[in-house]
Amino acid sequence: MKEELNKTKRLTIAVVSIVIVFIFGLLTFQAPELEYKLNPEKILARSNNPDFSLNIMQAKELIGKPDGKAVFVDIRNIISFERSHLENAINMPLRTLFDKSNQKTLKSFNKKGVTVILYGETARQAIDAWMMLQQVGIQNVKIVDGNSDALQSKVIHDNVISTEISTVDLKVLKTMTSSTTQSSEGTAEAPKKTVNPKKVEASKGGGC
Amino acid sequence: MNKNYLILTILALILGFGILFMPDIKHNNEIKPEKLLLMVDEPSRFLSSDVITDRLVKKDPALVLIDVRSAAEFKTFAIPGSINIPLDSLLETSSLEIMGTKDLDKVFYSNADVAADQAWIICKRMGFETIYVMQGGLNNWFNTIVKAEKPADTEPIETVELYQFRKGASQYFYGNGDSTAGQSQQNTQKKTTILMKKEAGASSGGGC
Repeated sequence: MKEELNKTKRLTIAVVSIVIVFIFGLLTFQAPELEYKLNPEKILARSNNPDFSLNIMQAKELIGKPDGKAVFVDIRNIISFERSHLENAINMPLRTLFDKSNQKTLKSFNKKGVTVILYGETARQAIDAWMMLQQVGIQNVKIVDGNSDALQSKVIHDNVISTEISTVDLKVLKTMTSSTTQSSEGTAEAPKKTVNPKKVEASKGGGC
Repeated sequence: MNKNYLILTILALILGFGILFMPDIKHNNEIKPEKLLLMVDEPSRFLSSDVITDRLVKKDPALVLIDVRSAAEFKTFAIPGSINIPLDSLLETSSLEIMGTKDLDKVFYSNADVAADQAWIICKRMGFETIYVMQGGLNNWFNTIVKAEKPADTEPIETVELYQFRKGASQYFYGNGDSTAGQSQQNTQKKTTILMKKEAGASSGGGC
């Protein structure tokens, strides 16, 4: 009789302790604060779709509009930001994008359907930030395809080219290789005036 | 007592099932988002076009130049000695094999360095080592190496040496443009080159 009771007690203790262990595990289990929401294939597919990029003209059109649909985020460092930045732009240096407060702000924009427009020293810096935000699940983000100086200048550029456009002048190459491939090309090769794409950079000079 | 065993079994089964459906966190090699962000903010992944050209001329066997532009663009013009992995086929098995080769320095380039940097971030996240980005991309390579501009006589000796290196490298790739026959044609074409150089110079600053 006594043994029987002991056995039941032991069992109960075992059950209770197992349950406690599991509950403890579940309570202390928490997902890491930041995790990738997109696998490499998905982020690659998004990288190949150029929808996320605004050229300087498109971006400038959004500057003056306080309709709350878009917000500019400056990802340069604090010093550059203090020197000059777009009106109403928020500063989040690239390095601090995953800080708690910044994540909170960005997530709240995302929830409200506000497009975050990133701009940086160059389009490359902006794409870095874009890639990192996309991967952790902040999706309503676009970048300015150009540098911040051009974005901030008051000069209107009508000839805005994307950073990822080839400016390689194949004619120059032809002149260089012509010594080796003399016979095939040549006669029709009249020296035309080549139009080099204009640089995006703003002219720094001023008048009177 | 039997009842107790039954409860214990059911409990273990339920919890076991629960674990089955837990979010899967198995990507062992993946670099955590926080760490990746810091790596992205580090400029050490960029190699200058001079460094890469030097290694190309020396036929460094440990260097693989990877062009991430489309196959058509690659066919039109690419750096001699580079291979083509378009950005959208970055994650195919054949490309991943190249990425996984330990003793190779893999250097991405595109027209600028935006697309190349996207490829870098994806590969870095997947844990690949010794990968780099060519600073400024193909446009910059072309402008500094192929169209190397002669410095003035007053420039410091380092500048002149750098120019001689670039000139030599471009002759290594494309041959010497102003040798051999076909003088008249050569001359007209040479004029074009000079003309373009003038155009490339940006006017900075105006005045009264």
